[in-house]
Amino acid sequence: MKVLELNSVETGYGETQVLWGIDLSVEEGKITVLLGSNGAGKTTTLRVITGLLFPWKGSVLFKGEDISRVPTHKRVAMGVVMVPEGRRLWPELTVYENLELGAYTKRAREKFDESLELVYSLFPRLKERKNQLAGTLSGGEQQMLAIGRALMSVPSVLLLDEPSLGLAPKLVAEIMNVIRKLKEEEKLTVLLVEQNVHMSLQIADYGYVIEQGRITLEGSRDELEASDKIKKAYLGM
Amino acid sequence: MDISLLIISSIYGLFWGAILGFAAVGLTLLWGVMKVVNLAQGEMIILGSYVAVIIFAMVYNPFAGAIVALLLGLFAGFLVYWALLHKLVGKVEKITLKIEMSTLLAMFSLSIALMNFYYFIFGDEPRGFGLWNIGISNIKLGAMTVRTNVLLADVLSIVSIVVVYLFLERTILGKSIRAVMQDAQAASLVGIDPVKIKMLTAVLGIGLTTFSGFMVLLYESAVTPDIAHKYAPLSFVIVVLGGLGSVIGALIGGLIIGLVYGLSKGIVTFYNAKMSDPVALAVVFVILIVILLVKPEGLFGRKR
Repeated sequence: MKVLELNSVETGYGETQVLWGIDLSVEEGKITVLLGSNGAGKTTTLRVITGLLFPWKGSVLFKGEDISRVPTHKRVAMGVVMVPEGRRLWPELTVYENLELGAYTKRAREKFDESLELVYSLFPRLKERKNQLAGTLSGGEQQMLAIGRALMSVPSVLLLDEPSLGLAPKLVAEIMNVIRKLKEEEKLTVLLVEQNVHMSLQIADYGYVIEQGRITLEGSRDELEASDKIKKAYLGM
Repeated sequence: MDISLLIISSIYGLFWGAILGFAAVGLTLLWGVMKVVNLAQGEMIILGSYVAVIIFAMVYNPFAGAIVALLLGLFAGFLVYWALLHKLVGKVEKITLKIEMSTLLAMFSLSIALMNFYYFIFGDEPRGFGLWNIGISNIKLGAMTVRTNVLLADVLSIVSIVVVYLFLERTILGKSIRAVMQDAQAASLVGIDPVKIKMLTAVLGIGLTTFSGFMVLLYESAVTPDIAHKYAPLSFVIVVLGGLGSVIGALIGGLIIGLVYGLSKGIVTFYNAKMSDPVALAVVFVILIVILLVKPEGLFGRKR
């Protein structure tokens, strides 16, 4: 089943058009990756999916329902949850308070204890630091907290915007492992947006390549890994 | 000049400071959450005082006046949000300087309208509770006389600040207000409706401001439109000193400003009584300049 579907989505900021007809879908229980370099339109695609930006043309479907004009906070209640670029934590709230607010919606609050247990088991360090202010965490811990906060919202589809950005390779591998674990053990559906092609292809089921606001390549992981384009442009082979 | 004069001036200053601090709480909330600089702060404080006086005249019970002042302020906050602020700050992700200027002008217009309304209805004749006090005669401590009405105003101010603080620290709604204050977009990404939170802040902030008008009235004994011009600038200094959006900062800032004001006033009175208020006010503003130079985010504010 398709959890998310974008149909020829066009949008941009002010007068500047960024996306020129994006078609993309995310299958339930799979990890889909959206690859592309800086400025290709990856973050803009996520902003359209979360409702931080509305499409000029085309539509966004969630489980078959058109959500193109639904405001962000209502999409969260439906299960469209994003870990934004640059973490966007509340630095003056504690780790626990950040997680607590992750479970703000009624649907999420009902599963609060379960979610918290899951987050603490994935990231034991967050439990140790639960009373610390989020702003005092290290970069890796902040990324863990950002993912943890999103999990508290009980996502039907989890969108991750460049979780590897600014992290040491070892931490990137750890984060990728957690994402794989969430898919395998929690049956979570994931849309991962990354510049780190090598790392993200390792855990992906299906992928898209975006260039200058257009999807230029798509396919299963094996197809992408075998494609000359990916080899040349991103893997340096 | 002897030391007891300094001590007495300081204590009087602190008594006033707690009330000043509470009168600045609404200002710090609106400023912190949606960058609305409420230039009508002074007028909203005395709106509460006038309402308390009117209700007192009707039922001869000042507490009924206090409650009506609070309720009317909550409602006024609702009106101000939807009539003036929503179109400017409601759905914006990032409040730019341009929007700040627009809200500043909107609140400035409101302050002028309210001020003229007071002159039109009440003139500059002082209005108060007459000889009413809470029924305990004033307390004498050596050379000092503490009015029981002032004590009552202090207790109410501090209790109110603590209640607001606990609300912001402990409840989910309070935490979501702090979340919107720190990053409104991140708040919408966990399902918080920023419009709802902004509206709630306006309701709460303006409600607390008119409620503080009751304490101000107890302290000042009577209200004139001029009282607004006395409290508004001090509220701004307190918010900058305490840090935008910090309720505890407002209390501490209020106590510091009250102390500095009282002490300066006491010292100057000894030499030239006529000059005491202007000099004390000047000292307060020198402090404002020093904070802006040394610690612009305030005592409890966030570094940007």
